[in-house]
Amino acid sequence: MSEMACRTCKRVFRVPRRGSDVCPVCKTRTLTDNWNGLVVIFNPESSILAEKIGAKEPGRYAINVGR
Amino acid sequence: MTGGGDGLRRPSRIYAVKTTVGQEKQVLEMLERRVKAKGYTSSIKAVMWSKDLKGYILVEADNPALIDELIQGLRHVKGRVSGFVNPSEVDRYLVVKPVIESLQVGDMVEVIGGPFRSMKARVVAVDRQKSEVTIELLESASPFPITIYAEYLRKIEGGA
Repeated sequence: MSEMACRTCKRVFRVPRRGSDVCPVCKTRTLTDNWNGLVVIFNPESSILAEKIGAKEPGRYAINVGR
Repeated sequence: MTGGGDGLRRPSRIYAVKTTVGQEKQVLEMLERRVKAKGYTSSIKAVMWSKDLKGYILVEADNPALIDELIQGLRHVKGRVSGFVNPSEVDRYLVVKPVIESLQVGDMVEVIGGPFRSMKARVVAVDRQKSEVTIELLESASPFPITIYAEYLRKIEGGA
């Protein structure tokens, strides 16, 4: 398994090494392993960090996603 | 760091947890599993790790006593920093500075994407407008210049 981030929605997922390159959330083919920094949102309601990164759903978000 | 905490329920605040340097992401993932296992996902709002924040992770919670409980006995955790972090201090870890801004001719870099991935190189030209960098691979017998996107590069600290 490797951790990939979506360049479009910035969500981070664990995917099989030779797995699909489609983002499970936004369905774009924009997954990359070139990312760093991680914010895990458990409860976006009234969360300072969720507001700062623009997250409306619980989940794992990369801070920086490269090409 | 500012403020303090008496453990009472309140609007959420961001707290810093000190970790072993280099183990920040591992601590975040262990904490993530504990938050879910204990069902604290409404009180612990978020956890955050940034590569620019060495030796710390940030935890947003409405009750710091829950953080103390969660980190108890957790490997690579040295404790919670007393007080809380001003939300404006977090911005600099969330706003990403483009790689190109930190690169200069002569810098040593590692290629982190594309066909030359994991090879080391020296920067020979920087085009900030196009966000492109020309490099010479060090491991090549006859180094020839290659132009690639700056985001495919990571600066090697302490490089010449």
